[in-house]
Amino acid sequence: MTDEEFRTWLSREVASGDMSESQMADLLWQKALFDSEFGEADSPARQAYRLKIVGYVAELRRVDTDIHRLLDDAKRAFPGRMIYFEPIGFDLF
Amino acid sequence: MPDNLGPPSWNTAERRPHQGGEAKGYKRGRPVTVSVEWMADTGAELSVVTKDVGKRFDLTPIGGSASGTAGGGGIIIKSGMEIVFEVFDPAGKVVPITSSLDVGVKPNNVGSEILGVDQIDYAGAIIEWDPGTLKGRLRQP
Repeated sequence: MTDEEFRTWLSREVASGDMSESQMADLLWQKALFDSEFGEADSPARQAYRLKIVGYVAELRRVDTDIHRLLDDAKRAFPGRMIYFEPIGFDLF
Repeated sequence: MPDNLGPPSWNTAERRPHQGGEAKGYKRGRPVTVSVEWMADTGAELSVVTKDVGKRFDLTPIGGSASGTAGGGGIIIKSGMEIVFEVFDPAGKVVPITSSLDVGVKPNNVGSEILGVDQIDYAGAIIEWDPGTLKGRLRQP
């Protein structure tokens, strides 16, 4: 999914009341931080974090190998904030 | 031991394991239960519902990804939904499982409602499936 497609999807979520404007802005900001480090397919960061799930929440990078552990950690450390994440070098489903 | 996995009702020739279950939650403060045919998917790290199933509930978004799926699609992670399915205990008795693990919501209605390995692990279960006979089970060893 391209960045534009992701933004369009989130905008629809906001329009339907399933996400707030601030949640969308937060998620897109965390995505921008992720993209700045991991945006290029051959970036050194992708090599360094291969087979990890990398997330950004509250402007901080969080890394785990378990998606639920990553989510729970983000919720516990930064309640109310959104986490943007991607698995590096593999798929979650 | 009996079976609790089989082909989906809409395609009895399909070779992937499914089980009838439910998704539960709230919409505008009222409890909602939706019947779901879960596809038990050992290739899924987390459980995922289609857009329309997600829309039946008031869920709280907690994160998302524009990547991460085999098809290149995105996912929004939400809390507030309970996933209901069943496993057999070692004696073959039905054990209902209700999990409130966060779920992924798809941007569309393509594909199945996915019961991932997160839920199977939560239930302390293993999966047995014979794609030849289209029978199998989720069971606690």
